[in-house]
Amino acid sequence: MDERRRLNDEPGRLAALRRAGILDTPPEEPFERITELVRSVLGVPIATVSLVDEERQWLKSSVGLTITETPRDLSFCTHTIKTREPLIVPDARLDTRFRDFPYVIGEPGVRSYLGLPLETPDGYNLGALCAIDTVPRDFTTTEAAIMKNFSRLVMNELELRQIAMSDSLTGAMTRRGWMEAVETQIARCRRNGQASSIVLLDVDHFKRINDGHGHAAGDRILRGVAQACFANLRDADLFARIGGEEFAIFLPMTDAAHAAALAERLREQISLTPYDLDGAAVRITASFGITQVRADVEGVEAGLKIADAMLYRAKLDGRNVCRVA
Amino acid sequence: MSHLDQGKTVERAMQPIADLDVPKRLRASVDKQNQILLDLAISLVQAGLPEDQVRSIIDAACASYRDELVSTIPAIRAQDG
Repeated sequence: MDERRRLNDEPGRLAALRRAGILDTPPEEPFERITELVRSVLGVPIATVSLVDEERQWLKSSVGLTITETPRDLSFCTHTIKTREPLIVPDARLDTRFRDFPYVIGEPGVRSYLGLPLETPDGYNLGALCAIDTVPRDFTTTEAAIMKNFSRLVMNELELRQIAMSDSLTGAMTRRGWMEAVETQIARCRRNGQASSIVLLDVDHFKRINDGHGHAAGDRILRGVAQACFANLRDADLFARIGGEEFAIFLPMTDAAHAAALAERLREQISLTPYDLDGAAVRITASFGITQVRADVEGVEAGLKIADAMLYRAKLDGRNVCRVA
Repeated sequence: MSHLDQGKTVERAMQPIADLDVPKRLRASVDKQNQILLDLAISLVQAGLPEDQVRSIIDAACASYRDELVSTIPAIRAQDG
């Protein structure tokens, strides 16, 4: 996908934001330190690390502000993320895009703004690093260059976390990263009155493959299963390897029936894919446990427990089947 | 502050990281951090900031990454077996 298309790919951008697993998380030292540096180096009263969600701007870190979010249509940053360049607003009261914003007219009296997009390595702008003043100000290109480097520091921190949250064999998320990201997503789906579901899958008789063909063959099978999952999932779905041969999928905005349909597609595709192991075409199967995350169930642990019970039932029922709670 | 001095400032800030046994998967990230800090030092000097202030900013900017890296390394090692 070229640069411009990625800038306009809002579903892809939101999915990248979800994968970062940072929305609605508590304040953290690395980001606090950067906003403090922005404040002191640029001599501004307000600095923020802002993430632009579907309908809101959420502040991962801020100095000089007490709010943690604003509606997206009342944010400077929703404009910043539309380009790869700094957004400089010398006087918000003279800018038709911003002059009627409540925090420009009233407290804290925002007058000038310098925002740098927070860009992922694959070209999605998750939000912006912002320096904000309460007097009109022409931010210089030198100041924009400093901010650019601070924004790169923010993203390198996030990328380091992404590496830690990613399974080196399959490219799926790790259990820890998935649990954290899903917890946030379940809360979000609940807030929005949307259904969400969890699918667990476990490769059948995986030990036999490892014992019979060696660990390299086992690794190939795991990579193949992960690829089949990636190929069938949407950008917003969260996919993890949570155990040796066990994978978990979180499906936002998906009820049990649709989750079961996806699981059935995956089950069939996995069972029909041959692997050349020691010159023989070997087929494998997987068992699936599915649950919709119910409103009365607290959090990801509880949802995972129900999906796991369904997976156990699928194993008891002869494997290579899907079972739905 | 010369380019050489900027490099030394970054090198000094990164020294605790250089002493770590960084797993292969994280080395590109460490190299990138190094480059960003160097670029930041250059931009701060170009903005006219005094040398001691540049040093202190680079130290502060490096510290949080260092902490994150230290907590990430055991997780990566556990994954890689």
